[in-house]
Amino acid sequence: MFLTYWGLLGFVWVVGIILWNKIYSKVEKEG
Amino acid sequence: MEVLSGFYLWLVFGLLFVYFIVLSWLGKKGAVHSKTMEGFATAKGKVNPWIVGASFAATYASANLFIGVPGLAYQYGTAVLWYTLGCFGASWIGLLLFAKTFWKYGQKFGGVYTLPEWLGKRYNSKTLQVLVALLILFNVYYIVGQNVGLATIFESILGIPYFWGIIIGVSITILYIGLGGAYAQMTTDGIQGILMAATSILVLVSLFWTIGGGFNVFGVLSERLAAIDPNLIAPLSNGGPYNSVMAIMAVQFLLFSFVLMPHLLSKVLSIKTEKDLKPFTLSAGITLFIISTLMVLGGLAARALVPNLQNADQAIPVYLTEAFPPILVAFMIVGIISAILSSTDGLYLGVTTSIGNDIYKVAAPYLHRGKQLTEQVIDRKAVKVSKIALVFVGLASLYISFDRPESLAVLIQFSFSAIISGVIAPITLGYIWKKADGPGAVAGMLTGTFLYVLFMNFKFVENMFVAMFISSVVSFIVMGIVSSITNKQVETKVNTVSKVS
Repeated sequence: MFLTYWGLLGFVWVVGIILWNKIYSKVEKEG
Repeated sequence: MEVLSGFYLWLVFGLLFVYFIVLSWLGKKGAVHSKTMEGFATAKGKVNPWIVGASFAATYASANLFIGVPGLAYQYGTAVLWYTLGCFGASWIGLLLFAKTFWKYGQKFGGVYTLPEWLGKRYNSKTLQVLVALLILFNVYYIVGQNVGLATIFESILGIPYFWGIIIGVSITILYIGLGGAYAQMTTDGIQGILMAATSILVLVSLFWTIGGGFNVFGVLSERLAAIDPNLIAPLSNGGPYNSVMAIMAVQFLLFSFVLMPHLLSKVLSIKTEKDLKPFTLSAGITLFIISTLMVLGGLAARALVPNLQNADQAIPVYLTEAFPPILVAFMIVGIISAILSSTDGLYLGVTTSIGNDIYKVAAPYLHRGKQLTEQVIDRKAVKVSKIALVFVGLASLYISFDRPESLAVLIQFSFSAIISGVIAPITLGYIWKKADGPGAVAGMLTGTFLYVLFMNFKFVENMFVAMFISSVVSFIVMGIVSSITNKQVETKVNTVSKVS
């Protein structure tokens, strides 16, 4: 169970960073 | 059971005294920013986005994650890891997906300070705004859970009676939030977040000497737990809230939607520019990872070391005293107290700003009929109402706390499940479906909340996460149907009027 736990946490990091980069790197020009 | 005595006991008192002085000083500093509702509720643009991110995570992690969940792990074993996995995984992904759109809508509507106001403006419905503000009152139970956590720590480690533990905690929090509003809340959360992260990391590292086995520490922990009861290392627990695949899925759903809790979403509203969302979301992710996924291991290790505790909620206090020298325990206790206070202050702020901003402000035109009050005057009065409400909410939580609940985690999870059941459909459909309208949102919100309370009160559905999941699904369906019908009626009316003219 512990192996699954750490493995899934690592997986979330990968997915999270990809999403974060995709969503938050683009900034619309204000005004 | 008092586990610290003499010098160390006084050290904890000394540290707490210094800590409370710093909190109150920050509260006083925040008073400059909390004269308007915008300042009191969000402190928009006044705090660095990295600190706002840490504050998000510190507010997220409460007595639930620092005492309640390790207590459940002590009782039910490794199945509880599904919960902490979701606390980081599902919640952070949820934040990443929701934050930008939520922030953008907030900018578009202009001057949105709370979740009920956001919903009220999205659906152009004051009724919805007031109803969601009332729903947020469920958070009083969440606050009660924090009071109980604090009192448990005071009782088990410092020997302070339960009653006085609650009174001390409530008084301090009310003082600094009353003075400094969101500014005080977020800056103190920054400090609290660091203490919480340090405590969590120390708990992880301590496994190497309490459990042993070097790099195979988790293998050894599994063996020791299995020797007590093989169910303790099963992926599904024997009884308890994590006993079926459905329950685990429902928990992930709950934690994904947990970021919709008003006291957390208000952090997004305090970000001033779109550019600042990037550091905010990353900082929230890093801090959330550290402080939500590690403490649970202390609860599991406690089961291996001291298998016969009477109250599972004492697992973490007892583990700390088993694992660390008293001087470190003293500092870590302050870390745990931080975890509790950093959520309590956010919850108080969420509830009281809703009372001022979403109930009083909406009712003000009726209350002051005949008087010509400017918007600024009403805004200032709303801040005053929020601060007065703070005292009443504090007293209410104090009163309820005296009757000690059986499980802290269950009480806390009940309160936030009730709120999420009500708001998940209006928020989500408000994002993705243009036809979602006010009557639909009101119907969806009422359905979700009433169904959840019904399920839990009459025990139609035993597992609270499954109850929340079913209530939310029905809420989506009802909102979809009502919105479609009311949209059609509007279209028919428009067509009839255009034909007549």
